[in-house]
Amino acid sequence: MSTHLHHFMFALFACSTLASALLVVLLKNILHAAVALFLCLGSIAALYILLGADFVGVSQLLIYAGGILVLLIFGIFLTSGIYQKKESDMPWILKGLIGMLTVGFFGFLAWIIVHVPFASIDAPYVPTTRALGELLLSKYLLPFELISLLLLFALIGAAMVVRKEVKSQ
Amino acid sequence: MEMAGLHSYLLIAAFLFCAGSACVLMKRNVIHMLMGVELIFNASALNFVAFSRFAPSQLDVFAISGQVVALFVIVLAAAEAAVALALVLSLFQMIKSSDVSKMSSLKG
Repeated sequence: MSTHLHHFMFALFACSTLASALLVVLLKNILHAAVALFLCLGSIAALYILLGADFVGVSQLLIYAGGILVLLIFGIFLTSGIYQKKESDMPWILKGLIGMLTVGFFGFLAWIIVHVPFASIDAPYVPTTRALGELLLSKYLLPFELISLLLLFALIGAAMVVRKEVKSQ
Repeated sequence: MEMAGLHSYLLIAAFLFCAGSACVLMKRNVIHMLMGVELIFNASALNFVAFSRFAPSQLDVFAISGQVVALFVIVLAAAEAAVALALVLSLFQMIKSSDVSKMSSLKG
């Protein structure tokens, strides 16, 4: 990919990531916020692909945008619905305080990031998926298997929590 | 500071983290708070992948490990979302609301 095209794509997806993350916080309607979150996760997947992490980007798109977000939207429909009841409002002074606190913390983080002299390496793109697969099945085999067990137990646990109690006669 | 360098990715991740924590702190709806938690997870995974891309040697075991951690973060987020939504649903059956300020009694 040419450098100009790379920079253009980076600017596009960076802007859409930042704007949709801001929308998730600012939108009052929770379903609108879920759509903004979908845009945000998709843009982050594009950023992963621009970083040369193809497999992570596609997994993000499949699991986050395709799985977790659908689960969240089901959660919205099964609880408050689209027309949510008026939630108890936080005093505006507390909201303003939290907003100022997070903006200040972002300024602090940005100041640190800009002032740390990271070595600027402009390495060309190399495909990493093959190396990633080999590493997952050699060095990280035990964590890989454990995390699949954890996912299984979490899903069984979730099903146990929401199931209706069967009355024994 | 070049445009698509490590700094820009780290700044995006810092912004995502701050937006996520603002979402968790400000919102009263549990599902809206969960969305903030997802933003925080994404910020950390983006940091790992960015550091893995700008490592001295991209095919080094340590560099690829960043992508492995990002994959684990995605899987753990899936498990977290499933369990958290199950808890929200069973709480909703109990108190008929998804407002955290109403979830104040220990035994319904």
